[in-house]
Amino acid sequence: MATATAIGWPFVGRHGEVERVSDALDGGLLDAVVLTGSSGVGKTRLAQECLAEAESRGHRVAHVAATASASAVPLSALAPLLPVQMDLTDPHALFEAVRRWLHEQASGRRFVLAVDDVDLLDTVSVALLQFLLADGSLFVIATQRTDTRLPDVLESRWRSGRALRVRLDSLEKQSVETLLHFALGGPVSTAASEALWQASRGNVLYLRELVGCGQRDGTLVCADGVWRLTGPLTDSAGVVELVSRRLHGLDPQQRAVLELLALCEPLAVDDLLRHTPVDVLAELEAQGLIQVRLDGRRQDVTLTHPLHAEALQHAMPRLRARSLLLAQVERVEGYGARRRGDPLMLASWRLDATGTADPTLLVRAASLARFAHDLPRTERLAEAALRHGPDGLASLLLGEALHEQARYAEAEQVLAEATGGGAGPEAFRLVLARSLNLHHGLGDTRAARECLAGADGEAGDPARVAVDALLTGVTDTGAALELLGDAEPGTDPGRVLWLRSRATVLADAGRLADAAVAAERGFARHRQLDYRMVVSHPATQLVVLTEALREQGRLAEAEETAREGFRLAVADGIHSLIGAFPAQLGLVALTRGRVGTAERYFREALAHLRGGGRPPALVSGVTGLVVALAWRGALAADDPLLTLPDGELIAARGRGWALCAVGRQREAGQELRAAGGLAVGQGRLTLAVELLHDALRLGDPAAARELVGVTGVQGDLAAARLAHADAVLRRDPDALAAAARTFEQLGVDLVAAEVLVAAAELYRATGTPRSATACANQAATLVQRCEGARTPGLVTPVGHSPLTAREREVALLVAEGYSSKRIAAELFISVRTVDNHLQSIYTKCGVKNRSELAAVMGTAGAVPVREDERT
Amino acid sequence: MSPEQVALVRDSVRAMGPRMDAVADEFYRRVFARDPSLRAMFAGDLVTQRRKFADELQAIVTAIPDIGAFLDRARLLGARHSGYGVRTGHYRQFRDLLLETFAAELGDAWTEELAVAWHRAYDMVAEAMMMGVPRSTGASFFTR
Ligand code: HEM
Repeated sequence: MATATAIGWPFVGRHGEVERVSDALDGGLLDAVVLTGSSGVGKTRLAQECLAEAESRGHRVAHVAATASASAVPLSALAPLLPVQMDLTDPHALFEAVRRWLHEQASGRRFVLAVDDVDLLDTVSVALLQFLLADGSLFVIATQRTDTRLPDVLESRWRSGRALRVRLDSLEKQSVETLLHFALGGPVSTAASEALWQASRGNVLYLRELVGCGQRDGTLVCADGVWRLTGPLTDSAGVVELVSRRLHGLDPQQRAVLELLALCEPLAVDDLLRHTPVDVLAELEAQGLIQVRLDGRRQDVTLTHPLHAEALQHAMPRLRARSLLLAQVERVEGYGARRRGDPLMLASWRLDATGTADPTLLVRAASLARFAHDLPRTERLAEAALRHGPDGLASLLLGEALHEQARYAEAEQVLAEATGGGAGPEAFRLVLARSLNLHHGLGDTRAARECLAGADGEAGDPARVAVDALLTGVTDTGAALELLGDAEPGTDPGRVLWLRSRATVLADAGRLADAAVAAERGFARHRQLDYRMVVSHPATQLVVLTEALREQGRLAEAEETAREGFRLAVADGIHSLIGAFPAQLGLVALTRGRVGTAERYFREALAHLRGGGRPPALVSGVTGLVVALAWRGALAADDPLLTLPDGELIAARGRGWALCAVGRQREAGQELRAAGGLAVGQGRLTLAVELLHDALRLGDPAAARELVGVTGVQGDLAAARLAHADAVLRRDPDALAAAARTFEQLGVDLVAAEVLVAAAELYRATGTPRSATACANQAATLVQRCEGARTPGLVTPVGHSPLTAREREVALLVAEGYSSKRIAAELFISVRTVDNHLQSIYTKCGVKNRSELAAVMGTAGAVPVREDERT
Repeated sequence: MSPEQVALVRDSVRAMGPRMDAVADEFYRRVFARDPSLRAMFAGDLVTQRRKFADELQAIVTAIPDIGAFLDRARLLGARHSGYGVRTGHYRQFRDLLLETFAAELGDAWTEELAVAWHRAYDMVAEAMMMGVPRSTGASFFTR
């Protein structure tokens, strides 16, 4: 009779699964298998068997485990795949080196890598896997506990049919009986196997613990060749409880080995043997607590089950963990850290033990994390490095990680301190990063300028020129374009920054088509860039692109671009950008006249943007929301949103429409026209056209004249706006109708409707009632799409002589239910004047009282809100 | 398996004795009737094959009480079978048909307990066969 030990419990009941995985590997259509199941069900064991099978078919294999502690330093979980000498500062070269190594190893067959608990894998490791999978040189067998999240690279492969998902349930009763018979080496009494089945419910880990427990405490014995129970099984403790009880019963030397493994696994057999007698290891192996994985030339010892690691880590006092880790660090350094991935493991252990490690290594690890857009980890590692003293690169990494997480004030603190630190290789980049954070993050362009002056030594550097131009362009696009020049720099990252600045300034200056080209080019180049210091994320280029497309009237493209940008920003967790794209989508919806949709997008944007700092995106988000509400007539005079910043030009639009919403239409027009004039003076022609056109829509008499003078803004939308102004000046109904058609073709429905209403009015006045009716009808159809918009331009006077602007204001307020007294107060006129206006309005509209007037006014504006009708 | 089941199977093998050949004949008839495509896998002489199968089945279930010998034998046989291209699904097919054949041949003697016992015995054989030959020579790394 074979002695009953727990060594190498036989593999029962899962051969079908091994076959499926092997088929997947052979078939070549799949490149990953995910084994999903609850803890203790046998996922790791299955992965091991699959690896053995693959190895027997000539594949090279390796088995790694992601653990919560190994995730402290990126890539340390994949240490067995990494070159011994590696350059962490150049992730791309590193990835490439791993790829080449795998190719050499694999000799034509895919390398098979098993990854336990893949959900715990750090982002950089995931990025490396993705890289290798895309290359076709790797086949991954991943295990995943039920209810954890699969990394996107595997999830998307599974969705697209390139990965197989195998769900592991607990073993069936027959399999448990067979397993017991094999493992114990003899028949098991019906009562004993029933009790073990009942308790374990087919969870293999639990079954093993129960059997081991029973053997040790003498409840499970072999008499006359048959295994029986002498009493009830150990009371119904859960598996975790059983495990920790068992670990408790070990002698100190055994326990020390297990604890070390729990912190640092896998460890090489030779390392362990240096300080542990072989019989201790043999005993632990015999008890099924540790196992040796043969991985090519390397022999690694691991704990048999992750649950053991968890229980051990949990029970370990902090100080004990610290001293074990440090002792291990000392040993590995003692023999020169020669194995693959050793430097990373050292950093990881040090960090776990002391909260810090070799600063050079930490900075490199932080760069790696930044490369994979793992911002929280970048932050942690860079912070740890800075605890050793000032380090320009570490500050840069930390500052940028904070900036991209939209923590602008914290970023400023870090960057300000570091830029004060004087010269150094990073000094220049720190200055750039800080200026950009001040400008984009804190909305403080003046401080950004002052900061940039600190880098006057690098005056000719394209990156500096780019930032300088960006700041200059806020008040003078002409000067900014002059700074930039037309010659694209030849090298990155200066070029990428230059392209972004240029696109931004061009877009502001009205050269929208040129801006779109520059932004597209910038995006393409930016995407190829591995080095993302200072230049941030490629999606920043898409913000500008969206803007340039929208202002040209290319609305569908603008939407598509904004969605793409949003997707990228969310995928990489770039919070500084996440809010910018909903705001852009809101602006497109506004341009279309979809006021409800716009409101939703702006609210979403604000939810993302509110936080530290006051980035320009926040101002434009608030502005957009105010405009959307004003157009729907849903803005109350005391709305807290109306605390819009005073000085800023982009907020002028919000201020103007807010005035209009409270009945001060004339002032609104003046405000918008004045802001438009200011924008012209600064060369911000795109904004100027938009503002002047808004003023025109509010009936401001001078706006049309100013608007036709602003030529040079590229794109169909600006052309239509100018044509509209021209038609108003000439009082030409046909020209108005034509302009309306252009707006409609662009999808700018609300403005098209307003222009049609004006055309109808003119037709009626010039005695062409039939055309008037046609235009009015068309307008009504378009308004249907505008989700309840009720702008002044939509108000149709029913009488023959059109209402004056003032009369329209009064009429609208009456329709809102305002008393004459309140209207008088709103408009700063006397009650008597209000009543005079009212009489005139009644006559012109052919109504007798307020409620009839409200009904008449309501027909134009009160359209039910409809679902977003994107085209 | 429980000791009772081991005994039941052993006794039934003994009782069947020479009738085992007929069982094997009937079993293979059913196998090929159910899945004619399997015929192609058996290149050698079928009469001999049926005899070998019957002998082996008898020998191997009788070996169950000596678990070491049983495992060695079954795993070797299984390793050869993986060479024949036998897959896990085939083992299931064989089990169902073998139990059906026994039921038909034994009539009233095929009790519920006997059926369960044979089911377990077949599982023992099949699982051991699917394990194949051990990949490493010893189960322990450190005591080798
Ligand atoms: C209890 C289960 C089984 C037993 C005891 C068994 C026994 C045997 C024996 C003794 C042989 C003679 C050759 C040798 O020893 O390697 C054999 C051959 C073979 N068996 Fe099985 N077998 C079993 C299950 C299966 C299954 C499930 C299949 C699937 C189709 C299968 C297919 C074959 C084939 C293809 C050969 C080779 C025939 C030839 O060379 O013509 N066997 N089997």
